[in-house]
Amino acid sequence: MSPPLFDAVIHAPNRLQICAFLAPLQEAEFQILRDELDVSDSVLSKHIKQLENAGYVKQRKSTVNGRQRTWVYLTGEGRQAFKDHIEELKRIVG
Amino acid sequence: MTNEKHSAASSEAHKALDTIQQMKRSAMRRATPPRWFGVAIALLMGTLVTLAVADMRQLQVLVILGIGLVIVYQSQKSGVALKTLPIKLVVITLILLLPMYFGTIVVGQLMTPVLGQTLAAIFGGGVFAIAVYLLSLIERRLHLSKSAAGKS
Repeated sequence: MSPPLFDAVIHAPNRLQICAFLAPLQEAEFQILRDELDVSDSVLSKHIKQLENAGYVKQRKSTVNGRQRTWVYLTGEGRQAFKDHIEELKRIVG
Repeated sequence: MTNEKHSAASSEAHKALDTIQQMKRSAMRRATPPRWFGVAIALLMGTLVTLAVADMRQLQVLVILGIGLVIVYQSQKSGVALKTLPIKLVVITLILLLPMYFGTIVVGQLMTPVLGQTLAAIFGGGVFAIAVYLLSLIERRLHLSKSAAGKS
């Protein structure tokens, strides 16, 4: 049996949650992600940065009523990597 | 030892898959429009029919603008945007709503000699608004049951 081929960048619990939350969506606001994961801004930023460095997510800034909002979305590469990761998990579970 | 390692990996993978399903469900719940959104869209769509029956089409552009504003407001407020418009929604719109829209205008115009223009316009708009609201409730229920079942 071949050893598990986890995508280490995605598999960390918080990053897995970020990818899973973003998967059915086009994009989600930073604050919504923070509330869903129940983590601080800095922790979420750190994880998003790691996913961004891997090319899996991107951020977009918009201003609504003078307030800046950050939107996060999965890139095509990120969607594929997440899909592959799920396949690998399913293979392990059998 | 190898079996233990495999069992541990399998258990971890199972836990990860559960987490993924849970987060996907949360995302779908966040993306489900609230009830007020269905009410607002139904009222605005009903107003479109009312204006058409009352022969006040020049005001329809304002209502269409209102529909756009409500959609933008809702998407900004929810903080999430769905990846794609569900194909079912597009099919329902094309197969049911469009004929119903024109149908209620025609019925409203046919009712004008009986009810008078104002009442006929309100009647047509009211029927269409109720139909749109019921469709929004059905769509919302389907959406929520799907996300609860984790079929996102």
